[in-house]
Amino acid sequence: MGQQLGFYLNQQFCMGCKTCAVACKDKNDMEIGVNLRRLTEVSGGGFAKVGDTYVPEVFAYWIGVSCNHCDHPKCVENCPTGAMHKNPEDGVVSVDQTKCIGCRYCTWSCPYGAPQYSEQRGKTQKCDMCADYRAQGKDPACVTSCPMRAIEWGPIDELKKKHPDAVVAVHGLPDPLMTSPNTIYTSHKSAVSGGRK
Amino acid sequence: MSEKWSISRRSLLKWSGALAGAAAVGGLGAGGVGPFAPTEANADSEPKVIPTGCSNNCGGRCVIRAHVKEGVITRIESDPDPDSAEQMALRGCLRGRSYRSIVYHPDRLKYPMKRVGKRGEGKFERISWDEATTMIANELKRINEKHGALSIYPHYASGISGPAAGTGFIKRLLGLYAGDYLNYYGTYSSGQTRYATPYTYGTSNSGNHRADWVNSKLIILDGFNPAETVFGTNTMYYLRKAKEAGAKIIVIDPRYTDTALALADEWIPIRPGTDSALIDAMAYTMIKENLHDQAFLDKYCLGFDEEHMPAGTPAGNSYKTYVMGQADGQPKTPEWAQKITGIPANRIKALAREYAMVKPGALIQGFGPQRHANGEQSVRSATLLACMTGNVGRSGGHASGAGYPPSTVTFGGIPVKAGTGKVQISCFIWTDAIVRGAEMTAEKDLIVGAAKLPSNIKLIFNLAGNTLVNQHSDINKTAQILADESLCEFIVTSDIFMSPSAKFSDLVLPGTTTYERDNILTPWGHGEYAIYSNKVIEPMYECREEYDWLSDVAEKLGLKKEFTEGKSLEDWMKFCCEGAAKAHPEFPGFEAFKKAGVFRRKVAAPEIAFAKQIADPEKNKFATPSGKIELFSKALFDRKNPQFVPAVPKYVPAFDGPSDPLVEKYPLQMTGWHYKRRSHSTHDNNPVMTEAGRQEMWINPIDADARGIADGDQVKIFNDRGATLIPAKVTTRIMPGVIAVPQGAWYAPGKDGVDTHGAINILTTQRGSYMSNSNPQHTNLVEVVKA
Amino acid sequence: MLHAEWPLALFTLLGQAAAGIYLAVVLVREILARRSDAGQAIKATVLPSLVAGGLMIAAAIVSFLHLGSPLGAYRVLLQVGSSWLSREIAATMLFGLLWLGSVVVERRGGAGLLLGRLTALAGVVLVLCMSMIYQSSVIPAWTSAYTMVSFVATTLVLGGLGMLALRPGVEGVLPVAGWMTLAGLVLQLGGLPLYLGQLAQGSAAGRASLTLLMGAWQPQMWSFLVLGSLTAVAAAVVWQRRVQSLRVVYALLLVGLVGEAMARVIFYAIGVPVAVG
Ligand code: SF4
Ligand code: SF4
Ligand code: SF4
Ligand code: SF4
Repeated sequence: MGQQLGFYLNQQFCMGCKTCAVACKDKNDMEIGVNLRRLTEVSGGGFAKVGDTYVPEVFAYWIGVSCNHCDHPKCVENCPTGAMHKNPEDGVVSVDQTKCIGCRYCTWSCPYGAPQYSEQRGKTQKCDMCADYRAQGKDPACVTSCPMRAIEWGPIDELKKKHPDAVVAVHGLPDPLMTSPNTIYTSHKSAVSGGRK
Repeated sequence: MSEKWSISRRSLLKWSGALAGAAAVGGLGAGGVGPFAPTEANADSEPKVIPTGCSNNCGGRCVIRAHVKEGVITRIESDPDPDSAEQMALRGCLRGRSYRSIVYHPDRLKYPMKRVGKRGEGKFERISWDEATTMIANELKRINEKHGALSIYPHYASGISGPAAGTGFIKRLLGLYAGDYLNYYGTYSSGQTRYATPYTYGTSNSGNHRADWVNSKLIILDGFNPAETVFGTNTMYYLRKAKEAGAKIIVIDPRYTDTALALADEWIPIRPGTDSALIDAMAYTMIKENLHDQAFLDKYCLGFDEEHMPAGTPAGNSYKTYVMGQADGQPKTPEWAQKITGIPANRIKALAREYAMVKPGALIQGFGPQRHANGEQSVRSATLLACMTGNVGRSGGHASGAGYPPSTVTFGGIPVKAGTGKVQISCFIWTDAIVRGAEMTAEKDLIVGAAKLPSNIKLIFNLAGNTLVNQHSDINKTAQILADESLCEFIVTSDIFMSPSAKFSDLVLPGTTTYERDNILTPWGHGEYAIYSNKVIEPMYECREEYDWLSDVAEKLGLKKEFTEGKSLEDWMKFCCEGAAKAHPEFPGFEAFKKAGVFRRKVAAPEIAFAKQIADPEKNKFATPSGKIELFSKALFDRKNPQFVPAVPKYVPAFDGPSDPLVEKYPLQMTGWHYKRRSHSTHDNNPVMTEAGRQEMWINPIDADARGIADGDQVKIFNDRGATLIPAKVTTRIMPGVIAVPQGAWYAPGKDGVDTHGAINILTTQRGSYMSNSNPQHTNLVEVVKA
Repeated sequence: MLHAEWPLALFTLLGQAAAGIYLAVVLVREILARRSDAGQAIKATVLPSLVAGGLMIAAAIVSFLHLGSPLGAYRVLLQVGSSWLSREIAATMLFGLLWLGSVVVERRGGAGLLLGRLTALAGVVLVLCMSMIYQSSVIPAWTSAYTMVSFVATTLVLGGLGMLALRPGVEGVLPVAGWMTLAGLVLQLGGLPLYLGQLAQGSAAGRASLTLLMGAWQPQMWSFLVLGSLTAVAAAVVWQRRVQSLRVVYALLLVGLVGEAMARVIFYAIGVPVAVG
């Protein structure tokens, strides 16, 4: 295999604006309910009563996920048609729309909710890392959309080198051992794995 | 069965798509299948990419590259250019990115309509453009003759900005035809701060350019949430850069906002409308501990202490006298402020010390703290604190106040007849002017340009605005006033949807979207650029831009030649570019600008507000009456209303605020906020945005538990003015005692008159703020129950 | 999640009923063949054998309704190497072919028990494949071994009761039906507490499933518990007392069927995937 591609997300600066999700949605013509990139809010903590005031001990952060183009993609393993496949060249996992029959088995197989079934198309849709853009030498749509410049893409090894502090498991993500994902995060201060929740 | 049916419907749509070609996009939308339906019919041809822009009124303006195939927009891209050391890409946010589903929304207004039922009832009948423009010309004639030009009011509207906006052209036409019109000052965004900031500095342009923020060591964001409000394209990114350059960021806000979440080292929740109490206590602490910059105050400011007062002012009126309690016997101690703000006294002290000692520091106020009954005080207090710490006119500092940058890109505007538009009301009091305009005076109602108004408002042009009902305060009261056809006699609305405001109009005209006309877009202030927003597709249905049909009205009034000067809308854009060429030698000319889509002016270094005045105060005076920074304002002193309009910044408890006795009945403070999924009320009906963020009320678990409310429950918020239904988000991200409702949801009354869609203005008041008669839409007391 | 999955609920119920009835057919034949000859045994079980095949065909048809793009259904066999769904369809087809073969051979009088035995085996493999599909998902309510327990149980219950309803008077049917039904329900009801405990101690998604089960789907849950227990008791009585009344036997089938259907509805309804957050 060539170099495995992946994403990097600077979670500490992600403001949950969902621009990336909407840019992806527009680029891929997705219907309502189908989102190839998704944002999840995690929040908690509370207020301590001190005299007649409340002192906050509150945390909140967003987790942005599309598809992690995993090393052990359960989605690929379970797909009966081979539509869901991992490109041997760059490790990108995508759905061959000519092969998918819309059985939705992959949607049960991904802990990240990446494959999403489209009623309109009768087939499952998933991030292909904007294969068409990459072929044209462009960056994926979500990457160039982020107003905070928080998303990057590239060979995962290079991303890891560039961001030595980045981790695969921020708090709130499924156990990475399930599929060995290729997205790394600079953790939000409250999302350090095993941190508070 | 649903599965089977969806299969057959799907293939049906595919076929109809293939057969109908380009028109299928509208067709799919109309079928309710979804906003971004597959456009398989066009899959093969190469798209044309047209530079245009996003002009939502969020404060930013962004580059859009629209992909068009066979006259249909197939994709929205934003700024394709990479960031460089010199310039940041102008990337649009989710609103700009989802605009395609506005353009192809099945509910677009498609032809002119006149009202047939009672006003506000929502019954309309299709008419022709000729009938519509004849009707406008006739009503204009009739009302002008009967009530005079100052009874005609082009209403506050921000649906379209830039020179293509209908409001500019209607003012031009009214000047030509009626000789004048009733104008307004202020905005619903920044009424209080634009009014109050000049009392301190003589201008609202009190902010350093954002590129200077990297020089700050400490940034305090007070009620500032650019993560959602936007407030200038890239504002959040500039803050990220500042943080990476080492600035500590503290956010003061009742909510743990997305801005706080992404940037804040510390969050200080504060009761809405009590910012001045916090600042007073910080000032008190600084004075007590001698941490303030006395030299700066002595040199540049008027009114800090008794030694620096304008001649002839009675003793005991300085800020220091007030804050130390020498005037009223109440020192403004942190303990005093703790009770008011809900912030522990020791936290206030620590903040005071930090801001006084970590320099340079930028206290940046958003527009939230000023949108209160006492909002002008919050603004004036913040400017005072900036002066006390010597952070004015200094790189890395910030003078606070409105904070518009010292200079920005300038274009020409649509010319109006000289001398018109001078008589003005505060933009917030127009409903009052419908009822009793003729009684309004300069002194009592802050009318500008005349001692009194000659007439009530009788004709309203509401061009691309939803402030007629939805965005104005107290919807029930507004609806009642508008429903009386004997009061305001004629209302024209031009819009792209049947908004709650359009429903209250006599004539509803189908307008164009941003992509259906040429325009020039400039940000509120923050940004060194302008965007040429090219027309991408022809207007859909019978939709027409305002200039187009106003030309027909002009023709019917015999003024077409004078009104149009033979110019198309594009010609007017060209005309406006002449202004840019004069102001900016590097402006490349109309054609080049139109083609490139963006013009960036050259700036050597980020400008610092008041740098000149600070460097050489003798040569460069502040634009105040005294030429100094006026912490004490003689002009305000002369208003002779020291309790509510004090001459120095003070904490003035707000009506409907946390210390109003009304809290017995309505114990929760309610504040609004600008939700990422809308720009004001624009996008409320955009299904993509509804998916991105549902309309919801934030409530702390402590308050929710006390009311038996669980996360996701439908609740009713109410006070004496009205009630609304909305789902609750029970979250620790808001302080106890406060709820928040994002502004801009479209009023949708049920049979009992209760709003069903979380429209905040069913609960807000039409009473104007103390100093400037502006909209206090964040000052509210309410109660919440499970619906 | 249920509304989208009803074709699957129906498909699995039909498929398991088919496999179960055919299993019962083969077991009854084994008993009969020992007493008389294979030909007689086969003759006595023609009807249930045909019904089993018919149900499987119905199941296969229903399964198409689940697909978003049914025209490509043939491709479903392409990944037998890794996908339990491919294997499931392969097993379904194998069952169908073997069943067709045995029907033809049996028609021609070529009486041998082997083909039938193989068909029944294919049915059992099919049920195991079905279960593995869910067990290899990321939905804690499904990944539990209880999925296999309950799928096998449904197969036994519907097979036993189906056989009983179709051939109540035939010798050997009563004990086979009795054993199958009771074994199935004991497994299904007995395994339940373990399963619930597993959910309670598992991930957030598992707990969410449990919340659904104890909340919105509690009525269905109780229906299953009551009907299942009733079925077990009634089946035992019918077996011991050798009840042959058609009315009783049909009623028993109905109660058993509704109970199993409830269990299946719940199964899909509480499927909450592991998720971000
Ligand atoms: S994230 Fe999910 S869909 Fe993407 S490769 Fe991994 S398992 Fe497959
Ligand atoms: S829905 Fe499509 S991609 Fe997913 S498992 Fe089925 S055939 Fe494969
Ligand atoms: S890479 Fe493309 S398909 Fe994947 S999430 Fe980003 S925009 Fe969507
Ligand atoms: S666009 Fe950037 S900041 Fe916004 S949600 Fe996506 S990753 Fe976060």
